Amino acid sequence: MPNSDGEDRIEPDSVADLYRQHAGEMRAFLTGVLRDRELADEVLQSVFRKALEKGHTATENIRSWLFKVAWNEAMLVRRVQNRRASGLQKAARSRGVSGEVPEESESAAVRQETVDQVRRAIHLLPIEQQIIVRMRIYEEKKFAVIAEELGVPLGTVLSRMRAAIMKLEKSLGQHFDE
Amino acid sequence: MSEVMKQSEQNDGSLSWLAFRYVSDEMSDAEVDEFESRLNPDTPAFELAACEAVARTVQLNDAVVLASKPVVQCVAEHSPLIETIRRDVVARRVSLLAASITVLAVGWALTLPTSSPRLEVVESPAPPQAEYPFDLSGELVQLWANSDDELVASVEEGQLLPADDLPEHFSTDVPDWLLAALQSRDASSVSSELMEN
Repeated sequence: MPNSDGEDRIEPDSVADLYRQHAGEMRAFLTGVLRDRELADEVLQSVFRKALEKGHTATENIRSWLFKVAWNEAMLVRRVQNRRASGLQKAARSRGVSGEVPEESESAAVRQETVDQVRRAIHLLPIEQQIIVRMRIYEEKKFAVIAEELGVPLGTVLSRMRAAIMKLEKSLGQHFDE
Repeated sequence: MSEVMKQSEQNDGSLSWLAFRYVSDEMSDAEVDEFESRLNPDTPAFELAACEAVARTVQLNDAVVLASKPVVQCVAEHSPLIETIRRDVVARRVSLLAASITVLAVGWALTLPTSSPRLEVVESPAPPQAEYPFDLSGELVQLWANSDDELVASVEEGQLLPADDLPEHFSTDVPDWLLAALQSRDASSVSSELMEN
């Protein structure tokens, strides 16, 4: 459909398809950058509004274009936040991801089958890695705190966590790639 | 960073590890700046793989949190021990209910032969004070008092319901419904006397 500039925009149905395909990944990316799920959801709407308005100008893979738009929109929001925080430049970075992980798989950016797969993959980890994964991700404890509580060197905690992440990602590769 | 280094980083999982530390806020400010330059499309360091790694890390974290939550709930809901306890509680409640119904039925049956005089009261022009054809309160008191009655005694001694199955709060005190019935009878006899006078 030509817009006021005579350009052909992406059809709304096509944008809806793009949303179905990429919204989960974009939401996750924005959550990682902004550390705030509600804010990430708001920015996600802006990203797909941009796709409707400017998506036809993309000269590259649309997914790559969406990531770039998502970053730029997130930075706009972060700058506003930082101004509100009276110069606390690292305000958005200095906290973990806020907000409960939603129960609904769509909002949590993961599907139930992925959750089941993760559960199985966690059980396959050595017990010392399972403990650290749980303490870091579920209980949200810092690595330094985990090391102190377990009475092991920080380097040991980091190497166990890293090994666990590698294994979990490997076992879930096909789910995330879909 | 050269393409070769980037490829190597992706293969050995370094990028995923960096993304995890970034998302988990386990990086120094300098590391954050360096990593974010890889997310920023306006810098030469930009790489799509870094964006994907951040998204993947958040998805993985969410999946771990969700995978950890239901396990606790499932254990609570589907534990064989808890299922056994539930079945036991239901069975006890059913047996207690059955025993109570039996007691009431026996009590009702015992009232039938002695209730005919009361029927005359209902047929009298006096205002109907109860919806029932006869007043049970007297019979209930009698039933409670007649501990030598074989049937009632057998119920009270727990033949229909094993004593072990009785709940701890079970008591042989006079129950509230019996007191209410007595009060109702007293009130009706007082009103009858007043009407007669």
